[in-house]
Amino acid sequence: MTVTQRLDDTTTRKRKPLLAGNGFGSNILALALVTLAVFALLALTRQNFATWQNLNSILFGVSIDFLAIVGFTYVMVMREIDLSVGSVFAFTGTLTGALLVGGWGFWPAAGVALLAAAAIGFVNGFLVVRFNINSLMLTIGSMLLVRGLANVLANDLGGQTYPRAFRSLARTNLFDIRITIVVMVLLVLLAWGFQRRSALYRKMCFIGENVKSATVHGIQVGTIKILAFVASAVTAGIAGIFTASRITHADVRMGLGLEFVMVTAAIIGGASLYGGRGDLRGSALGLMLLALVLNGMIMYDIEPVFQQFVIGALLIATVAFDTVLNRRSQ
Amino acid sequence: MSSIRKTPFLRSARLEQETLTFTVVILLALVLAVISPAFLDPNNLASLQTAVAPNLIVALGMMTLFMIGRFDLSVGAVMGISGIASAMALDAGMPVPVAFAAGIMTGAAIGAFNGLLVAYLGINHLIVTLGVLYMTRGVIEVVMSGQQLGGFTSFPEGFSMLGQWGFGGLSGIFLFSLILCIGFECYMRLTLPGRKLLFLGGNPAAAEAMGIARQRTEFWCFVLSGGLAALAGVLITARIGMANRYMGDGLEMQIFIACLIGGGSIAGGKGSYVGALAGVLFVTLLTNAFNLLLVPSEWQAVVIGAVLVLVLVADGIMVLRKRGRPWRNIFGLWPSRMAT
Repeated sequence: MTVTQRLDDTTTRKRKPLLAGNGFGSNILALALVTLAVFALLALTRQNFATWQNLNSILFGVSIDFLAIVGFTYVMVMREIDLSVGSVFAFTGTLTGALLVGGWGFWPAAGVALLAAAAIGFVNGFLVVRFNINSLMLTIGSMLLVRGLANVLANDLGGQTYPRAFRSLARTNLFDIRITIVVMVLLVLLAWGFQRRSALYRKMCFIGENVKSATVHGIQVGTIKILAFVASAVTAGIAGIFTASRITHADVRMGLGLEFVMVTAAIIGGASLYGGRGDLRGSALGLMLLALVLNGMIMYDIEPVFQQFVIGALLIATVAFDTVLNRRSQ
Repeated sequence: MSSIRKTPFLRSARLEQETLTFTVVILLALVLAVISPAFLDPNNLASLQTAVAPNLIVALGMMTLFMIGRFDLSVGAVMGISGIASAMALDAGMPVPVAFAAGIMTGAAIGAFNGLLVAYLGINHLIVTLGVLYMTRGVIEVVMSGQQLGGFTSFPEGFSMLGQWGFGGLSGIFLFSLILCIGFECYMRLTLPGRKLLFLGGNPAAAEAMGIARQRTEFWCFVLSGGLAALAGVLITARIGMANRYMGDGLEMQIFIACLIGGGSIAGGKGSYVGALAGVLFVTLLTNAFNLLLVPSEWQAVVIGAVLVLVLVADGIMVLRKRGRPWRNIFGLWPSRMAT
């Protein structure tokens, strides 16, 4: 009698409230509502905001960043982090551009650049898995290293514009919509299926929750982690190629600070520094929310130099929420 | 009886890695002296002293955090903003001591903010200090947006003297930082609170069970780190007579690497202030070598990143060895057969 009562008690206490899920924004609906609210606020108060051109450019920017966050989110699911994405992003884009300026064809150039990105990802993953290094620290090292290489390339190019064919790549349209936006929608749908159906995703969550237990149960932790790091670098590289094509010339500031935007977006979207969860749909919404906030700041004539401050503050605030919520759920 | 060997001094004093780093530093200096005639030039030696001094002061704070298993990536930005704060106070016509205090207080306040979030809210220290780095850089940009690129330049005589005094041909702030380093080393080795720092980093749970106030210690270590970074910022502002927005940019990584090379470990429980000195000397000599040999600055970032990765790998291997993994298990071909 008393035992069943106690059991009942715990089950009722464990039932989640509607808008506060397992993690910060793990409830997609709530996040979507917040994003919509920000959107509505901006659309109602600012005339320039709800124009077709502005919305299209926001969505275009988000869709390119989204390509880079795909692998990043799944690295975070496994309680690792890859801070080198911003540098790999810049390196791959600049390398593709440099090879094209050097007279290569597009596909060989992009292929070589993506292979280089994959190699960087593999080295990151391998070192983390084999020597048990904290991935936060290691990827800061590779971030500096790869950023240096990207700057070497960019300085060699000296602000030269890329060939015309490459510049028009990012402006390719499919059904009258930018191709990256189409890809983003497709990937979100795919990720939905992946996260609901795939055993691999469950394994990744398991690794994030408890590495030792996952190893004991025969999950190939090392292989999956290395694959995730490679995926993170390659997706960042693809996004980098599109961005290089979009900004049309070599730029040392390309992708600077991108990794922190991504950590913030992924955590807003339901991932956690403590591993075990992460949702690509949420990450996409998180990126969208950040883009709306930054765009809104421009709309309200807030100094652009203040953006850095806001990104830093948002980063701390989301991680603080993440930490506090995790502590409560434990 | 004869099988019991006496522990060597370097091991018992935990100075093995520090000695190694010092040896490398001396070798590096010898190589530089041979291949570059400009290295022993009095001007270069003077500029080396001024480069080492602020780095060492910042590294003392960072090393304290390393000992308890934390670190602070906001130091570079804190250095910049505290220099600007004291310059602005001077610009507003305040006396030198007030301006000096204003700079230090700014840094200590940022350190306290870090400490509050990390120690009492338990948020990941890397994320907090990175976020604070971004926020502080943003504030610097906002504050300096009305200024020219050069920033504040004209300071009263008394303030400049803070950074430009010398003694026996050595730069004053260099001597000051050395004395500070020795003071910290004595504190760490000879006093109970100093030993507690290492204990706390080595085994936080045991230290807490023994009654060491973990949260309070962490908080004050962050305040110390912020305060020391601010001190370095104010001194270097006084030394070069200029406060601009680029001061301390990217410094955090150099200091971080210096502490790792000098015997610290991100896992905590290791490290000494003498080691911080050795690490800072190494990093400064490396930068100096790049400048003397006219290596472009992009390659400097590549080398610093590579050194950081190498040091982390070496640190990781040492940690695995300490857990009793045999060599062939660390470098073996098949990771799936490794015992965890």
